[in-house]
Amino acid sequence: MNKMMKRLVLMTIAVGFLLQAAGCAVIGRDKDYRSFSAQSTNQIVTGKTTAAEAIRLFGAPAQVVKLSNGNAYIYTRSVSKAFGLWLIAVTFANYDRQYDQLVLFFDNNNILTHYGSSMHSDEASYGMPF
Amino acid sequence: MACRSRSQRVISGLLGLGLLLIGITLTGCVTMRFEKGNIGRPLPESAPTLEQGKATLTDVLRLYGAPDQVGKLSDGFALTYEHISYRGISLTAGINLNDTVRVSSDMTARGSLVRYDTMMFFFTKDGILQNSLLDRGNQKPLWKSYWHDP
Repeated sequence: MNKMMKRLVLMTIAVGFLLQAAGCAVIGRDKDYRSFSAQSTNQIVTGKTTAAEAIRLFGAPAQVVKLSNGNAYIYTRSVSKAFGLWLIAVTFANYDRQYDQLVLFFDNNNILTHYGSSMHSDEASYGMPF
Repeated sequence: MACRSRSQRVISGLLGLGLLLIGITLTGCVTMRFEKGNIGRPLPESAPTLEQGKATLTDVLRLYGAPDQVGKLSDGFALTYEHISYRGISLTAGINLNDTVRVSSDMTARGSLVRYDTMMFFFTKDGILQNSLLDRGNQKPLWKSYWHDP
C-alpha cells in the first residue's frame, strides 16, 4: 500500500514536471546582413583608392557622414545570438550582438585618406543569462 | 481492508490528479523573468594613452578599429566606440479566468537598466587628435545606478 502510494505520488510529480517543463529552452540567431567583404580591404590603398572604387568593392554604405574636409562611409552588419531558459515559473534570457564594421574616410576629392575595420560578428555567442 | 485500500488509492489518485491540474492551470500565473544583453565588444579597461596634438586618426583606427559612429563637429570630427549592456527583471502575478468568468487579475512589476561604456576621440579637421575620453558606465554599481542615480 505504502509503496503504491509512493509510486503514485512520484509519478504524479514526474508527469507534472514534464508538463510544466514543456518548451523549456529556446535559442535564436539573427543576422543583420550586408554583403561587404572583409577580404576586400586588401585591395584598398590610402591616397589612391577612390570613393567610386570603394563602392564597387564594398557596395552601398550603411551610412555616409559629411565631414569638414571629406566624407566617411560606414559599413556595418551584425550577428545576434539569444538563449532563453524556462524553469517552471522563472525565465532567463540572454542575448549577445556583435558587429562587423568598416569605416572609410575620403577627402574632398573622394580619395581614401584613412580606413579602419573591426570584424567581430563571428564572436557573438550563446551565453547563460546569469 | 482491501476495500479501504482501494478507496484510499482512488482518493490519492484523484488528489494527485487534482494537484496536477491545479499546477497546470496556474502555470504562467506567477513568473519571474531575468534578462541580460550585450551589444558590441568590451572597451579597454583604462583611458587611451594616445598623445593629444600628436596622435592621428590613423593611430586610433589602428588601435581600436572601426568606430561605431562618426560625427561632424564645428572644427573637426569625432569617433565614438560603444559597448552596451542590458539587465532586465520582471515579476508577474495573476490569474487568468477569461474562459470562465471573464475576469482576470494581473500584476506586473518590471525594470531594466541599460548601461553604456563610451570611448570618444575628437579630431581636428586634419585628423590630429584633440581630445579623448572613456566613460565606463558598466562599472557603476547595478543596484545604485538603477535606484539612486537620476
